[in-house]
Amino acid sequence: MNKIISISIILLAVAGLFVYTYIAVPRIAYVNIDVVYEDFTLKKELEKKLQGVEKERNLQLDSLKTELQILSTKIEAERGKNLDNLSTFQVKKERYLQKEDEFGKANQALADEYRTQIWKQLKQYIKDYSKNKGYDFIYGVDDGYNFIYVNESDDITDKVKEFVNNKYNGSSK
Amino acid sequence: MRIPYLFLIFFLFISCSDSDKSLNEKEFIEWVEDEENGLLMMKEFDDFIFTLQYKPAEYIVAKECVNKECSKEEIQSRIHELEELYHFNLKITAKDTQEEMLKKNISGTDEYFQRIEYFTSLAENDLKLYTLNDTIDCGLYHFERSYNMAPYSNMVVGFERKVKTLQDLTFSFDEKVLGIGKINFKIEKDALEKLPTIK
Repeated sequence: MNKIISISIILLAVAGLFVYTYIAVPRIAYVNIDVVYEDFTLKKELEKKLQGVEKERNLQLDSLKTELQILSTKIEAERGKNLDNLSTFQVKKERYLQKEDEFGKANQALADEYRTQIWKQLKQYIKDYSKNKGYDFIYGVDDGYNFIYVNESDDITDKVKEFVNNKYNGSSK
Repeated sequence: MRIPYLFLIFFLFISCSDSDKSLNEKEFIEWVEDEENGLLMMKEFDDFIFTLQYKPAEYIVAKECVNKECSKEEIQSRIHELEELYHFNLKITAKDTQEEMLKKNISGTDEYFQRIEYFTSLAENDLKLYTLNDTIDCGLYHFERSYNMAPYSNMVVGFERKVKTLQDLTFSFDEKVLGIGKINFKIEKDALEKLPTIK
């Protein structure tokens, strides 16, 4: 009889431990968010797109700059005697500076817009990963590591990276 | 004696497999609209939910014939006609609101009208379908507004179907006004192969 009671107690203890381990204890892991961000497909695509836009705008600026340089050489050769050229130079210089400022602001706005899109999607896909895999907390650490100690077995960076890119590419798996 | 039994088991296994499924119109519609079967996909973000429904030709016909008698010939001819395109519905739902999706998080009426203009006449340029070797531009587009009756709107989209063989399809919408950017949905070849037939 005593034996049965002892076995029952042990079984209950094991079951209790099981419940505690898998239900009561929150599942925690961490990801190196810099790595996930850098390898995120959308980030790479938008970075390329932004570079293309910036290049196109720089070409336009270069063309205006070249016009200015040619005019400046001409004015120098004429020793500033041609007032028409001087006023054209002023107008063109102002236009160049205005364009430079306009493009600078537009590039910054576009970069901000893209960054917002990247984070919006990235955060959502990491949330999806947490729900999918039953995590209660996923800490985002960066290359600077704010933790004094982390167990490397809790590092799910590679898994998250793969999941996030699959999600972005449209896979349901 | 064992060999006939093995044949019988094999036959039963084959006859029960998904690829040979034959369903009536109502069951067929339910099958296509079941997320488990891979032809309905969702992506949820903070403010919006995007739901893509791939609509095989048989599904559209099943919807047309569910409440009326259609002859086999009518069904076949309609399927043949519809198979010229890949058909999709993209539903965009605004979360936590009863107002129309176009009004979610807008800063003023200008932004509202900008969104209307985008979805009615510009969004089709941002829709692409990627197949194994091809990028297909949108060939059919219609935006269904809800006029404040519901927090969602539908985009009815079609892409020219150049090859009849089944392959992975990636539906891509590079949206420009909701702040989310490019959204992709991949319809796996496996899901397309499992499509049942209509009884």
